[in-house]
Amino acid sequence: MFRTEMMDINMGPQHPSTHGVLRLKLLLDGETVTDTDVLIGYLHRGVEKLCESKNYHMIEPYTDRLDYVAAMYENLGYVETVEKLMGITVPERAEYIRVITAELQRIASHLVWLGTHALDIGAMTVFFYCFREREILLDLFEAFCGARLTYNAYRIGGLPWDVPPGWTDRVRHFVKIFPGRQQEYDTLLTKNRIWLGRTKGVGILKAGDAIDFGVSGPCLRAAGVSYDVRKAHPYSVYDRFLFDIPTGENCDTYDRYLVRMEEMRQSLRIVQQALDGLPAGEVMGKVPKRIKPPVGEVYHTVEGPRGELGFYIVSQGEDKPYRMRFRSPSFVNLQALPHMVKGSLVADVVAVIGTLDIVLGDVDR
Amino acid sequence: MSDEIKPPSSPPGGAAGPGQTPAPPDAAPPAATAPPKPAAPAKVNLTAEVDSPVLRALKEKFPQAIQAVSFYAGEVSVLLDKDSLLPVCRFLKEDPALRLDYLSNLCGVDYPDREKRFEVVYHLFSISLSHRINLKIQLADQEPAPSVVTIWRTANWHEREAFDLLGIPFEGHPDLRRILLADEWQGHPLRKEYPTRGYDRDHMKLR
Amino acid sequence: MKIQAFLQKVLLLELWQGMWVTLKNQFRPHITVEYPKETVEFPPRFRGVPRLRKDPQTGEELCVSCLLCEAICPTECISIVSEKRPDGKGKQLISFTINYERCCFCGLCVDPCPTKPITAIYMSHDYEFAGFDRDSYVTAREELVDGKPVKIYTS
Repeated sequence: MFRTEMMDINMGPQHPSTHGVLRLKLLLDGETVTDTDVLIGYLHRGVEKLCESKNYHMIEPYTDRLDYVAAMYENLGYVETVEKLMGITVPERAEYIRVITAELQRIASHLVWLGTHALDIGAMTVFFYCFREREILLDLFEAFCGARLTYNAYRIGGLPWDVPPGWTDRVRHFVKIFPGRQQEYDTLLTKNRIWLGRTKGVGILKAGDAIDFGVSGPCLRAAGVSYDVRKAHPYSVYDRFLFDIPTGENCDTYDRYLVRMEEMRQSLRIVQQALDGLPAGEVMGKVPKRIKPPVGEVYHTVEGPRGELGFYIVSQGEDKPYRMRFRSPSFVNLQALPHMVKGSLVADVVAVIGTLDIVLGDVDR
Repeated sequence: MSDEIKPPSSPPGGAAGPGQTPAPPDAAPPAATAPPKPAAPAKVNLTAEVDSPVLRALKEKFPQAIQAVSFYAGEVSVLLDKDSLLPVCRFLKEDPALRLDYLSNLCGVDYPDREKRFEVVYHLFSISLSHRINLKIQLADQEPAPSVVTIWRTANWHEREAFDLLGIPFEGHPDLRRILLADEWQGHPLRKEYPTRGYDRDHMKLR
Repeated sequence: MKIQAFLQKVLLLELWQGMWVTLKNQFRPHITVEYPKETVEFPPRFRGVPRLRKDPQTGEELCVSCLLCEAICPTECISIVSEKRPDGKGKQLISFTINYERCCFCGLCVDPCPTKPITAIYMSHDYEFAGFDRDSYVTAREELVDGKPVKIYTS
């Protein structure tokens, strides 16, 4: 008399909670997800192919458009890879300013994550507060490099400009007021029973699986693995700053939330130290007019807000890269989604997408 | 390994240490002393040989599998025999002294002038021991590469992408289909003969 | 301890704390602006659309048609045509066209510009460029120097 059957549900690509154009094919047993097929590529622009026909200066604006929520990191990773490829030394002051802007970018990116993640789960207020604080950061970036989203802020060998007058004081002001603001998000969410109910025990990704899936960044650290490229392979001048790597225990969405919240505090610590130790001097190193790296290949990683951001450049001695490959953390982290949502409810899929903190421009490249 | 090309101004406990302990390395207080300007950056030798425990272990265990070794900016790349890729990878992952458990990146490179035109590059990393190695294999057109999905599950999408954009088939892959491009797409865009430009109107035409 | 947990559960303490935060924020000043009526102030480095300029003192053309900006543009949106000057010194600009439809506002064209201290090409602060057809974005030299007539939405 009664008959049950599995049901296919299509989620996306035009779905507000997929943070872009992600399409999921969910196989449902009642309301339980039994299988997921992740379909990506709706935002594929062929940047890797395009880079093969552009010279090294021209590529930086393209890296802006990969992970547009944290474009500073794409810039940083790219210029550092080319510098490593050519053996260029960057002036101290430029390195410090890079660290300051990059860490502020991490906070801005985590604020977007926190706001949209909470919005997906149903807490709307946090979204407005997060974007209010992000606005301060975007104003800082705009004063520094002239753009609010696609910065193109660094150049191979240093920075195009020094910081504008009064900029460091504005950063100091932000460092002063931000902990109070973060306390507000804390009050709104951390002990909120609805938030706990929606995040605790949801989307569990254990350490072994996380490493196997290549997951990096906060998602890996929430599983208890304290792997951070800034510590494991210190690039730029990160080895001079004191900061901790927050880790979680329960491998669930709530722990990933706690880890990211703590990361914002640690980023503020780094910014504070970098501001105090900011040396004077040049911001542009000695760089040949034509960037022509020798024959060789490098793979360089930086720790972006989403995880290990890798750049692989093969040079054949020309002024254009022979092969350019972006190892984007969102692409790799998204792969763990079917594993994380298996056996959970449809509503939790939304929470898991939010907690993975994917940016589809980064996934599809 | 970014410290390889930088002048050694970093305090101890940086890249050399295991880097795994949450306790920060006892870095010099950044505020107190202005960071010492490193002595004139000497011309760095980018292709200098570096000592790598992984390479030593590989040379000991699989001497016949290694076809070439190259160094660049502190990175070690080992060109392997295609047939010995799977045993080498399994050894690298499971050996307790190496533990390369993290496949950081996998991608293909197209060299149309070579006899074996494709190169698949594996960037391995050990989370617990903080060392890296790059493995490479060379393949002719349409020659299948052994899939490493059974060793690192993260290879799944990377291999699908290499199949999609370069047309490298992977043997033993559970679900080999296009990932970024549409299923009915013709050709493989990252091959060198694939045109970068499509049709375009004369975009500089004045009204 | 148990009583405290019980009270917390019944009295919804943590929810009231959240409400208090929301209430406090009601009295903070606005940070948004009513856009078409008022606009935000831009910092000097703001990158709007690229424009050409003449020497502000002499009114002479600054561009020396070195083609560096055309060469570095990642989206190939600049096109320069020039000829040799009749007196043999340098080159003379015939046309300088920027296709705003393709421009990605990266500001790379300003970096290599050799005219010092005022660069011939610069990133202006104009940003309101909505239009109805694509051809209207191809902008010739005269409009680049004087400023393309832009429909101003702000009052």
